[in-house]
Amino acid sequence: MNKLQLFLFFSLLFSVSAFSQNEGIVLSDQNEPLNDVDVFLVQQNLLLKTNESGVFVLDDIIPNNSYLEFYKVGYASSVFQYKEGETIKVFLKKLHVELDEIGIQENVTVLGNYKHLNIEKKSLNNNFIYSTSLVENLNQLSGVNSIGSGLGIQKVVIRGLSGLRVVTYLNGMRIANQEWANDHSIGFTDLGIGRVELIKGASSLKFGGDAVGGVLYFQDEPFTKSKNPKGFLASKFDNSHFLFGNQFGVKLSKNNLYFNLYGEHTASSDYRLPDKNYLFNSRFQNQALKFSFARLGEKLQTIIRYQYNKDQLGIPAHDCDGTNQITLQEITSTSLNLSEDYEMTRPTQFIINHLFNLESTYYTNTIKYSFFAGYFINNLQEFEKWTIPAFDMDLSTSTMRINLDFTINKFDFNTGVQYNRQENLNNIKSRLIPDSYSNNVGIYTTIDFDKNNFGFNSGIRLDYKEIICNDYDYNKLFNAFNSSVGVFYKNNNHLTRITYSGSYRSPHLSELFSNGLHHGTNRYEVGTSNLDIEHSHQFDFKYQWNNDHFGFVLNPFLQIITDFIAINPIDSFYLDRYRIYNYVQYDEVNMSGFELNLHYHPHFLHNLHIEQSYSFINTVNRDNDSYLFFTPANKIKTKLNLDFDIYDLPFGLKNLTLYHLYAFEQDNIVSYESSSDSYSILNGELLFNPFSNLSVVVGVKNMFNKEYIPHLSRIKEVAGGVPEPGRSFNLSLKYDF
Amino acid sequence: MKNSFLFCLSLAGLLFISCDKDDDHHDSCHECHLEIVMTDGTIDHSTEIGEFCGEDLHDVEENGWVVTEAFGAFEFDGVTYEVGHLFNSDEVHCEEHADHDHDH
Repeated sequence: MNKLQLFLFFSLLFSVSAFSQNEGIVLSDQNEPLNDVDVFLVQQNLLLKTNESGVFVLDDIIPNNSYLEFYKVGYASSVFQYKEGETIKVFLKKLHVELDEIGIQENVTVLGNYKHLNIEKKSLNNNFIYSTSLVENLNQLSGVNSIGSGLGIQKVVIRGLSGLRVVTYLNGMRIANQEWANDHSIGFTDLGIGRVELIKGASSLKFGGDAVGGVLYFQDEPFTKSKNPKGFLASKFDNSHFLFGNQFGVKLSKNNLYFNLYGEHTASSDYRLPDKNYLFNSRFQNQALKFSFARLGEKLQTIIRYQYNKDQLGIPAHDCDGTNQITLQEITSTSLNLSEDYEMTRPTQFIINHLFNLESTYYTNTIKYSFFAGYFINNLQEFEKWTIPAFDMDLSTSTMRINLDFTINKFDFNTGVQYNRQENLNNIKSRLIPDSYSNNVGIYTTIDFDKNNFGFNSGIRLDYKEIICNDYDYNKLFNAFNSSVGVFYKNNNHLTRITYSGSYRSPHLSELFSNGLHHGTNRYEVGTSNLDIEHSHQFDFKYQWNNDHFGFVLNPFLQIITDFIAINPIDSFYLDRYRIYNYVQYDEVNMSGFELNLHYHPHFLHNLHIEQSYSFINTVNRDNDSYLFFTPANKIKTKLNLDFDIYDLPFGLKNLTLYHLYAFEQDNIVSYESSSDSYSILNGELLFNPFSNLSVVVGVKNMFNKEYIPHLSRIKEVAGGVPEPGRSFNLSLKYDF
Repeated sequence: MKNSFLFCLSLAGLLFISCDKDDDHHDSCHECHLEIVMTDGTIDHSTEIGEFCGEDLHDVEENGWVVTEAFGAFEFDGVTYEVGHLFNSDEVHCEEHADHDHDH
């Protein structure tokens, strides 16, 4: 479909309809009207605000049984289920501490019921100015790490699992971007994204069974109702990468039509190591554009989204000899030439992603019918030479999903069917993985029950997946059950939750049929065509307690994975230089550990917030009683936030944030892996609001210029280990209009 | 609303037009060198064969490089490479390397 047809297609889908107005009011527990409360219409992804009288206006666009979330700093958040004909009158309880809530926040999540399932939700508003990248922000969650090299190539690790086992969704569409390799990044930026939900493990049955490690569900910023266009312009600079980034966003609305548009351009040079040298070819560039149209009627709501993302990523620490005898000096430069060192050199990845999706929801009084159709195409070219790619592949994914959501007595049912087709096509003769396609049909049902302080969740999903590869005369059907059960009980401030999830993952093309040199990882990779399905059983226990000042969460877990697919080196070399790696399957591996989160607001200083998380993980390969490759180091993450809003400080200084990371040494390793030393990193930043619509963030990362190599660095085994960036300063500006 | 909408579409259209599919180096020039495996098993990258541009660059990356009369036969590590000897595409490197003195 060409670009003109695309625009015509979008423009034909909408019509203006008459509307009438409805009002709601938000009051404090002292019966005072609250202004500037965020009123989030969950299913419509629409954000309203209350006025000075605490009133917000609905244009009769809200179907019966819709959920509204109410949020205001200093008040307990609340969820309200709208019933037709009823007055919307909501009371928000003032918090003893005005910064944020300790304990469970009422909210509605896409991945399931937040009470029954272990779902974490994180706002990504203003991520562009507060964080160096999307993944860096997610790293602050306990149990979450990243594999990467600098800011260019980063991928998320959840409790030691990553790649194909951590499934990423963007607005309901699965992101399939050759995520099987550690040098293939997440595939999009924080542009226009408002929040992320995370489930650790496979408890979210609606979105497929592959998610043995977990599901990340990213959702765009909501639409906004406003007479005038709303939007922003933002810029940032980071001096460790000489990174310049720019974003813009515009939101329009009229009657029940909404339009959001965003764009981004980022350019980064090679990053500076603590010894003041620069890691050659760690540079990257990104351009992105996205827009969404929505028509939000009373019964029928339709949203169309399009996103374009282009990445050019240098592959640093490249050992072109493949002998692993390269030194750090050979892959670093003593200085940067800014007129040259933004240009892409070799080896480099060029990635272009297009994402289209259509969501349509129809509401009756009792049932919500949802239809989703999405198409995602990823083109990946990897160049070691200037003019000839080592491989050039198109991976296209088409998804259709129908879901019914209804309630009978106190039981909420979600039932649906999903069809997924994926096709991998090579555009050149040289290839690492062959042409192939797969068809996957899944049907699922989940039940949630919630009454007083007790609730449970149960779900089951059946998938049939057919993988066809004509090059290897391969045609195989995989089928398996996924299941999930969760129970929760709340007693005063004590909350206990237990969940079990059983899931499967069929082998991927790369694991079955790889046969070639992968320059991005400096290894020759060979698949195994008789791999079988991986099965996972995860047990997750969560205990949570809080009062007005202090809260803690204890979350031990155990995961048993049978027929675990891994890639291991063998004692053989391609062309006498590149070590050969084979895909293998282990009978059983275990992953266990716990996460502990503490949250404290001192009584003597209500505007101080301290949060600390501990994450410990242990992996065991039962086949040979050893560990698993790339087991994350245990970590302590501490965040201190001091709010200055109540003081009238110069330059509009509003906030100080300090973030400290302590990583323990990691010597639970396999024979072909090196251990890692412990390290400690401190970051800090100041937020200023010199004018009402202008935010300025000034920060420093790695304050003490610590030289460290994370255990999950993808270039840890090159040149004796390549350190992460040294001390860097960053400056970000955002203007809202 | 209408003017704002048209403005946004124009901006989007401009961004579409300005984005190329890939980084095209078919017209650029790059210095190339040979990769020679020494008798002791190490790999040497010191033999420069000159700058190649456009189609010549593409040709040498795809098909390799033949020792020309102009270049002349040469000896390296006790081995003589006569005119007409073919170094295949894996033995010809034109990508940049980190230069510790940043002299490129």
